[in-house]
Amino acid sequence: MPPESMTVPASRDRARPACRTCRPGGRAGSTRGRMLLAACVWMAAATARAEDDRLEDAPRTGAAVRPEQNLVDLGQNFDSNLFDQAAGGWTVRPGWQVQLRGNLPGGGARAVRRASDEPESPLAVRARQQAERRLDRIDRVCGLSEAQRRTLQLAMEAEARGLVELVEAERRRYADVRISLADEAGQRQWHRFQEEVQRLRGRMAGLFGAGSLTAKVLAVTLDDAQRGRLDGETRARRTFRWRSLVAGAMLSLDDTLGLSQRQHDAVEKLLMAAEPPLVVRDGPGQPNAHAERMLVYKVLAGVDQQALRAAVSERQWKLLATLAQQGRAMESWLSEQGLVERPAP
Amino acid sequence: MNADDREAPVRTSVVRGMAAVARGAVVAAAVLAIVPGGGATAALATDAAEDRPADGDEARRQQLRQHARQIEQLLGPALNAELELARQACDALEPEARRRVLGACREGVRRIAGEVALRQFEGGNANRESPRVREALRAVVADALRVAASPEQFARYEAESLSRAERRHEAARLRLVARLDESLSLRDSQREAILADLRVRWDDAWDRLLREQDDLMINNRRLAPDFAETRITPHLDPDQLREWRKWCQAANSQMMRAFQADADLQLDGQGPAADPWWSR
Repeated sequence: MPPESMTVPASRDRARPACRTCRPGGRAGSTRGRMLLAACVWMAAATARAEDDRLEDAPRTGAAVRPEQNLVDLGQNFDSNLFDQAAGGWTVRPGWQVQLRGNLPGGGARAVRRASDEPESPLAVRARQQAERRLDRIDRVCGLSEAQRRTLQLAMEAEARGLVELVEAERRRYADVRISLADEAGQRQWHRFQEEVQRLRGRMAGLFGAGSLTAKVLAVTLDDAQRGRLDGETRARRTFRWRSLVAGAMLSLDDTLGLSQRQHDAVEKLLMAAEPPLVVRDGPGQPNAHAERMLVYKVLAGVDQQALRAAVSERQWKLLATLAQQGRAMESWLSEQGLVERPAP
Repeated sequence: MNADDREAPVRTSVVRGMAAVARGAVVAAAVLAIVPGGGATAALATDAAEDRPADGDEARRQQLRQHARQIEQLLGPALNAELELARQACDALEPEARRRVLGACREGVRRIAGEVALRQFEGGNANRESPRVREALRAVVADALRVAASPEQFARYEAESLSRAERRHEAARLRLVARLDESLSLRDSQREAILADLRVRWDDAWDRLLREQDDLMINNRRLAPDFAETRITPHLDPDQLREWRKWCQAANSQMMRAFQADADLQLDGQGPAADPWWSR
C-alpha cells in the first residue's frame, strides 16, 4: 500500500481515467467484463505504485516545494543571531520576563517586586552581574561613599533595564514572523533583521561603556581625585591588555614573516604607539582570539606605513600589507565584537 | 537468521580491522625506522612501505603520498618565513652554502610532511605526541645552517632564534596575566608582580599549553591557568583568592587534557614568497 503522502492522491487521480477508459462497454456484471475490470484495476494500481515510486524518489525541486525550504522564522533566529555569535558570554532564552531589582529613585533602597512568577531574564541577571563587578572595581579604586555607590547603582540599573527592555521588545516584534528567502521582499526583510541584530549587539557591547548613562553619571558623581585615580587605573588596564594583544599578534607575525629582533621591535613600537580605546572588561569574557588578532592588524593598517615598510624586507612587506588590509576590511565586523569603546552616540 | 549468520559480519570487520592494523604497522614501522636518523625523507619512508608486498593496499599508499605532498605545499610558506630570518642573520652566506641550506631544508620539509600525513592517517593517536611542526621546521633550518654557515654566522642565527623563543615566552606570560586580569580585576602593581614572578620561574611547556587553551571554555569560563598557581596566588588579595578558587573549581586546566588540540598542525599556509637569493 502506498504511503499517505501528497504524491499519492496525485497519482491516484492519474490512475482513475485509465479505469474509466477500461470500463467494459457490455452489460454490467458479465464475467468477461469483470475480468477486464479486474485487469484494469490491477494495471492501474501497478501504474499508480510506479508513479508513486518515481515521485517519492525524485528530488523535491518543484516550485510548490522550494519556497518552504527557504522559509525562515525570524523569531526563532533572534537569539541565535544576537547572542550566540556575540562576544561577552551573553545568553538568553525567549519567554523570560524582564525583572529588575535594586535602588529606585525616590524610594531609597528597595527591591522591585516581580510582576509575575516567571524567573528573571538571564539577560538581566547577566547585565546586573556586570554592573556589580564594575561597581566593585570603581569602589576599590576610588573608595566610594554610600551615596555615590547608590547613585551609580541606580544609573547602572536603569541602563541595564533599558537594554533588556529593548531586546525584549525586538524579540516580541519578530515573534512568529516567517519570511521566504526565495523572494526579494523576504531577502530585504532578512537584511533589515540583520541590521537590527547588529544595532542590538552594539548596544550590548557598549553597556556601561563610553557615552553610556553610567559613564555620564560617573563623571558627575566622582570628585576630581577619584576621577583621576579611576582614569589612571583604566588607562593602565587598557594598556596592559593592548600589550598582551600586540604580543599575541606579533607571535603570529613572527611565524608568518620570520622577523628579526630589530624588525619585531620596530613593528611592536608602532603598534604600541597606536593603542586604541579598548573596552576594559569587568569579568571574564568569551575568548575571541581571531577578532583580537584582526584588531591588531587593523591598527597596523593605520600606523605610519613608510616607517612600517622601512622596518621589514620587500618580501615581508608584501605579506604584511596584505594582513593589514585584511584587518582594515574587518572594521565593521570588529566594531560588533565589543573590543573597542564605541564613540558616544 | 541463525547465530552463525549473525556473527559473520562481525568476524569480517574484525579481520578487516586486523588487516588495517597490519598495513598501518608496516607503514608506521617504515617511517619510524627512518625518521629518528633524520636523514631520510618521508617520500623514502612511504616508498619503503611500498616495496613490501604485504597486502597490496596501493590506494591507501597513494592517498598517503598525495596527502604528504599537500602538507609539504602548506609548509612551503612557513619554510620561507624561517629562511627569511636565516637570511637576516647570515646575509653573507656564500652561494654554494645557500644552495646546500635550501636543499637540506626542502628535504627536511618533505620528511616532516610525511610524518604529519602518517599521523593524520592514523587518526591522531592520542598516545603519540603530536608532531610540533614549527619546532621541527626550525630544527631543520638550524641543522642546515650549522653545517653550511660560518661559526659567526650561525651564532648570529642562534641569537635571533633565542630572542624569538624569549618573545614567545613573554607573549604567553602577558596573555596569562591578561586572562587573570579579566577574571580577578588585578591592580597594576599585582599585574607587574605576577609577570615578574613568572619571568623568574617560567616553564617553557606553558607556551604550548596556553596556546591550546586560548579558545577553550568550560562551564562558561575560560580555563584557569592553575598550572602556574604558585606564581599567581601569593600576589592575590583575599577576595581575589576566593574568586581564583571558584574559577579553578569551575574550569581548571586538567579538564581539557582530553581535548588537547594539535595546535602546531594548524598552519595557516601564509608566509613570504620564496626568496630567489637562496638558489642563486
